[in-house]
Amino acid sequence: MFFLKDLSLSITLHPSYFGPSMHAYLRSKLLQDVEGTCSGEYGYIIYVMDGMRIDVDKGRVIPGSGGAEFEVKYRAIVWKPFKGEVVDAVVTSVNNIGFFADVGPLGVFVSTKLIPSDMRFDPNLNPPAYVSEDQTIEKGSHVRLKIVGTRVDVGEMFAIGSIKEDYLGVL
Amino acid sequence: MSALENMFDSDPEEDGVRHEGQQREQPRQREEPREVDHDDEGEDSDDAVNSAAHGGERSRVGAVEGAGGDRDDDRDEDDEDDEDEEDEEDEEDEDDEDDEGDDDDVDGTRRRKRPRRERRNQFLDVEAEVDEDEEELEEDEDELGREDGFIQDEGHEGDFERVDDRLHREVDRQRAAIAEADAERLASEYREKYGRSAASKYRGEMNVVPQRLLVPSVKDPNIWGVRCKPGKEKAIVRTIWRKKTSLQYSNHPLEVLSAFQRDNFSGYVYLEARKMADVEYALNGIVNVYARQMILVPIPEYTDLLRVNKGSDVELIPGSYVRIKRGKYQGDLAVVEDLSENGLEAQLKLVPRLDYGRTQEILGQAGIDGKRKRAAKLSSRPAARLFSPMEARMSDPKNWQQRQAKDNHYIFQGEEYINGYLIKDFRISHLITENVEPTLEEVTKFSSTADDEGIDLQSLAQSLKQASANGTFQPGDHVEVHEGEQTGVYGRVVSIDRDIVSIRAETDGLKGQLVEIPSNSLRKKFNQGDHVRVIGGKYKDETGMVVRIKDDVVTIIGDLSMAEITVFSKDLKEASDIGGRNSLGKYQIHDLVQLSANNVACIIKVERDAFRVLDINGIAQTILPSAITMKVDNKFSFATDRNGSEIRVGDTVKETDGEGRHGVILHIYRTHAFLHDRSQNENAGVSLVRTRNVTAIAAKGGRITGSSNGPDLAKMNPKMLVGGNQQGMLPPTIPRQGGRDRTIGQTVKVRQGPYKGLLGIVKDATDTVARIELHSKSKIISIEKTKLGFVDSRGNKTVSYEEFITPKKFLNGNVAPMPQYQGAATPSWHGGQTPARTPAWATSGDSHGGRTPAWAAGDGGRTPAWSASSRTPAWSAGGKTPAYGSSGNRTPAWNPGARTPGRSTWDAGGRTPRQDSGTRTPAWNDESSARTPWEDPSYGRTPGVSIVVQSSIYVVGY
Repeated sequence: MFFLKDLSLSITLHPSYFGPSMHAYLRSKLLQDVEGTCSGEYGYIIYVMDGMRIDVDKGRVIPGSGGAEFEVKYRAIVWKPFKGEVVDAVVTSVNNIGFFADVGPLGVFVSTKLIPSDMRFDPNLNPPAYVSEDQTIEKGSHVRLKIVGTRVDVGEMFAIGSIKEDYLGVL
Repeated sequence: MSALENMFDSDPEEDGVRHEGQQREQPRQREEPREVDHDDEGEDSDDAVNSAAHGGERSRVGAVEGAGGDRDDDRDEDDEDDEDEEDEEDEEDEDDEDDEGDDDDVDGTRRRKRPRRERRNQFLDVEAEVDEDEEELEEDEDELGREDGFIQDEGHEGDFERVDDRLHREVDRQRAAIAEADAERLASEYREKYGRSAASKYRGEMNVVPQRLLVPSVKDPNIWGVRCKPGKEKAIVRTIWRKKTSLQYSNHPLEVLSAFQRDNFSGYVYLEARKMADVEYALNGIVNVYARQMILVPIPEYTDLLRVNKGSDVELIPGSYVRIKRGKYQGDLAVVEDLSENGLEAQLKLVPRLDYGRTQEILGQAGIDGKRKRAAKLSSRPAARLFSPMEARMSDPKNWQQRQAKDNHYIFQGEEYINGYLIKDFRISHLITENVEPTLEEVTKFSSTADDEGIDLQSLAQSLKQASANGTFQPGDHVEVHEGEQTGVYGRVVSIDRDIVSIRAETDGLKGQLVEIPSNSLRKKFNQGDHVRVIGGKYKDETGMVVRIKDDVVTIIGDLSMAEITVFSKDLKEASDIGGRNSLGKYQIHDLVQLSANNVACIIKVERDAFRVLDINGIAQTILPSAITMKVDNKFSFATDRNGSEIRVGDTVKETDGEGRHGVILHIYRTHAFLHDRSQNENAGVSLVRTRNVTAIAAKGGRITGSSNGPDLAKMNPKMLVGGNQQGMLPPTIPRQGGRDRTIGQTVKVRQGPYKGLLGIVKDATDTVARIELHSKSKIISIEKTKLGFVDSRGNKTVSYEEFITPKKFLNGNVAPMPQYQGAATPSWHGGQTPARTPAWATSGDSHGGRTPAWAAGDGGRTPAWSASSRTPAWSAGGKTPAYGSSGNRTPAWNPGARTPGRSTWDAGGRTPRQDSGTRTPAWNDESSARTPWEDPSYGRTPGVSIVVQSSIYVVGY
């Protein structure tokens, strides 16, 4: 699910950066550090809104090092996958134990146990695919799946999905 | 009842109790041969003691009931009848099986006597059976006291001649009692008598006398343990018994009260007697007994000696799992199909191990050699698999027969096979009933014929619970009640007190209440998607996510292996970390290890005590930790990819041909790289590629690779930038001088380093290094030429090496004559560089073209003073004159690659007041909005674009 979230980041700058372009630098550093990252709490930070209106505070010199710390407040679009959420995904790989699909930055695995029983894995097809009478799931297919569980790794999330329900499966 | 051989004094002068005891014991004596004959194994002792308990019990009950009334008498008689029937059967068995000639005589006499004894015995048992043990009790209980009187009478008329008379009276009394009974009661009694098989199972658990009152005391006869030849104990006991019976009416009867042996104590027979001499007399002439080695068993140890080793508290029920202790099926799991009535045997269902005569064939070829045959038998036992009627028929058609076609029911070589399983009776003593812990693999074998989900969870859970009911739950566990009244209630474990688990219910009706549930009706509850860790069994320490739950069986997808694992929920625990078993010893998963001198491998999976590795030949194998020589540490190794750009560990690459695999580089070893891709199934996602066959997709941490040169935002700092500029555009190499090095013999001043300030003479020089003899110290040092200042002939100024070496004609022609230059050529030349000078530089267009302000600035002149001055409009203007542009350096082609001048312009020069004022041109804004979230490395302004934009601004600005 997408959220608009006010977040902040504290950036420490080396004194050599102090100068007229400091704010520009802070902004670009913020974008670089934050966009596309993932945390367990908020999920993926998709986009930092209002790139030019990022609020950078005065900064505070850190005693002893000469550097300064800036609290940068920004508003971002975050996306956090939830258990039970139905999402659309692109299949990235198919094997005998299930298939992997990408939902934007999130990798989702759909186990054979969570694929309708009428879909069978056919390794002889090229590319290998799960086939039923009217549906085929192969690499590149678009599927609609339901997230049944998520796991947060360091800087990454991973989810288990299911297409064993009504209205789920190949789009 | 087997080995317990009791012999009683037949002395008529002995008290009545003794006499009664003898008669009571008669049926037991008859019972025993059966057991002795076909029993060699462990349960003998149990039976023996059970029977003893039985006998004792009966006596007690009988004693009480005898006084109680007619009805009780009748029932006891019924019991007796049952037993007598059994006894007769046993007798037949014994006769069949008994081979010894001398025994026949004994049997013959026994047979003749028996009918009489039975009658007599029947009633005596009912009337009064008193053990030695109960002598104390008699005082306590009035009823027993009365009995005592009765027995006393019996004792007085202990002659056998008078027994018949008594029998008649008994029968009369019985008849009267029966006559009195109404028909209905009779019917119920008969029903009880014949319809109740449980009577034979009676094991004396209804003991009414407290156990502590039955312990032997000093008044009781002593028990002596006598050494004998191990294995001969039973035979000896039997011999003693025969001796006892044969000497019973002689002048010297054996004074031994009982003789027995215990399987737990092999090499001993035990005799109960009043005096040691009696024991010696009894053992006299008996072989295999070492009468001299006799020990008196201490009284407190009597109970230990005769304690029933209750094999297990586990009650077998049909459907429970057991293991077989020995034989061909040793260790195999079996399912109890049925239990025999006597509770000694169980009908088991197990997966047969048949070789269908193959070993026979081999042996036939090898020659019939007993030894070899035996060896072959021992060495290999056939694999367990379901019975195959076809194979069986081919191998041994004579012993093959089909019972019912539809049931898949066969008899093969005398054994029964149903649905492919062997159905066979085993003695319970041959079974392991505790801690069976069937694994899922074994269990699935039993359900393979049934449907996929056909695991009999009920019985499996039963077996498992018996094994490990305790300790599987921990406070905080999510549990669910799966049986009993509270079925379906779930909640979290709050506390555990032995078998009782308190849970805080989370079900609607009971929310928040504390419920106490026995642990064996609980199971852990998991939900789809839960992240769990396996805490027991084969997959211990794996973590994964739950994909399916079916009652007790949970399927998870391993985090690291990405494989499906099916385990019992009791073996799972909620986990917050990821993991798994990823280290063993000092090696971890994905380590690169040396296997041999020219083979390395990457660990792809860590098993319980082995590693699964993928070696440099692309072969996956399982090795022991001892096979690893060392860990290869090559964190900093790098290689070039197909396009010649650098790839390092941690970069994401893609294979250009072959299977087109892609992944993150784990290791680079010579020309090979190990990649890891989670989405791959094979080899746990690790694959081996040649570095020549891959192209870099993304470098770790946004490192600039050769092919993509996105802007490094870290270099946005103008100060850093100047340094970066230097990197981007190295100073031009000073043209090599031909001939003798001009520096040799020059007086120089050291400008940097520890010798800074000292004067010296260059004695020798290479291209870059000069050897200087110092004036002050008698020492020759080597120092870089660039650190030297060359003192000119007049001795009043020093020039840098570059200047010194530059041919004079250039300097003279362009710069040297200029007074400014002369003035500036002080040691602080760089600082003193004036704006006025630079245009001359810039426009000079000399052969050293690299002498741009930027470069000059980089050469140590990176002082604020310079920067400040350089950023003057005059300089900038000068720098950006068309003349400059046309000098050839600033060609568009040159700009994108060098990435410095443009940026420098943008950052340093380009940041004109006008731009800072915030009126960003549309071009700028456009660019900023062009940021795309997922193109991190290339996000932002590419140098080419930025330069164009910036310079256009710039031009507009100026």
